[in-house]
Amino acid sequence: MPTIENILNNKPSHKVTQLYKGYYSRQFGFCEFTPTVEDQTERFVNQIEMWGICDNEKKNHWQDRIPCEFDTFIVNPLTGDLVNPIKKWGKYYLGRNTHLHDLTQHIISGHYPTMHNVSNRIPGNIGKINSESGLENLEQIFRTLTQNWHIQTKAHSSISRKVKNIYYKTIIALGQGDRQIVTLILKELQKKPDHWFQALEEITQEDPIRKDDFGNMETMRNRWIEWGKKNNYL
Amino acid sequence: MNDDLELDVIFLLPLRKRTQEQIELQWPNLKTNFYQIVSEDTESYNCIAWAKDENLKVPMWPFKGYYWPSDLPLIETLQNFINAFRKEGYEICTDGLFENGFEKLAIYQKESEPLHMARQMQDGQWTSKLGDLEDIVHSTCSELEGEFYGWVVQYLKRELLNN
Repeated sequence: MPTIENILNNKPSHKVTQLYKGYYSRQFGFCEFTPTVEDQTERFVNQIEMWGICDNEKKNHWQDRIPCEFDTFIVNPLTGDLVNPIKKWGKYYLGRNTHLHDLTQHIISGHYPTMHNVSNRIPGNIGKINSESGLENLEQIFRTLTQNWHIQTKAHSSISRKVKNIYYKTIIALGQGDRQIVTLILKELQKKPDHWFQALEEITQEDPIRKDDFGNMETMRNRWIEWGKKNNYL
Repeated sequence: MNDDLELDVIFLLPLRKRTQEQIELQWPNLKTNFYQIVSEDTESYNCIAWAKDENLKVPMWPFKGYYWPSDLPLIETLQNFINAFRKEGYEICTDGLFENGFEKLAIYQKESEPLHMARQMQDGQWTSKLGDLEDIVHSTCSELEGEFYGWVVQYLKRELLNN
């Protein structure tokens, strides 16, 4: 039996892209699944509503509910690749893989909500995100991901461990969907040196660092900041 | 899973208080043994650089863009780490017992992946840079052993030139 990863990775990415485009201008998000809605279609829409975990309003929304088992995953909407399953978010822990299979089946069969359906069903503020608040939200997502990346990897010396971390990879996936992430990373680099070089290189497919710079965090940082200014990211 | 939760909670504590608690949570053996935080946290260098030379203020790791001997491959194997330190005059040895006139290093590894190095000081205690966190002085190598850094799999030593 194919794994969830295989199924998602082998599907045409435009389906995933459509799914996210239809729902959210950032084309990126988390899906959280709840078993509370009976109707299959309705349930699917409600499940999609739950993604965007960094939004406080939605967090509070969850806090009013009885915690239930759910699955969370991250998809790069441009490629359709499952970035990585994550084990938990905040205080909510993942349980058994009950509903991810449902989503997979929806994607495979094409029974995902269309843009029209989703926009009609978006409740409350979620449907009101415009480009301005979208950027605010993007920053918020970025800061939360960065904070969690630091939490999980700050005690590691291993650069591999740092750049393979799920939150770091999520930032890269986010950046591949929206180049404004590059600006946010470069602004972080302006504040202090940090291990952002791999992310910048993967997102931009550029590498302004020279071999002579290797190992010198300050110089590497300056190279990327210069690159950012030259390419209008700063 | 519960450990992850505890770690997240710890990071919500005020910075000062959290430093010690965070370290002890990550390396519980430190709770019951002597150790001392001797620096501020910084990303500017890491444990490998600190083990090699306390004046080497760069992160050292076999990874593109980071400091590593240019004639060695960028692979994370124990042998590659040993080879990097052979260039500094170190040879493998069997234990971390203090030997007057020698400087010793310990390589920690988990699942065949080197994750940490500590250096023995001239008073017999050990010093470690904890990733991007602080430098600490600890009495033995075993205090940092565990799930996070793994376990000491290799000791290295070299004769001190000024001895």
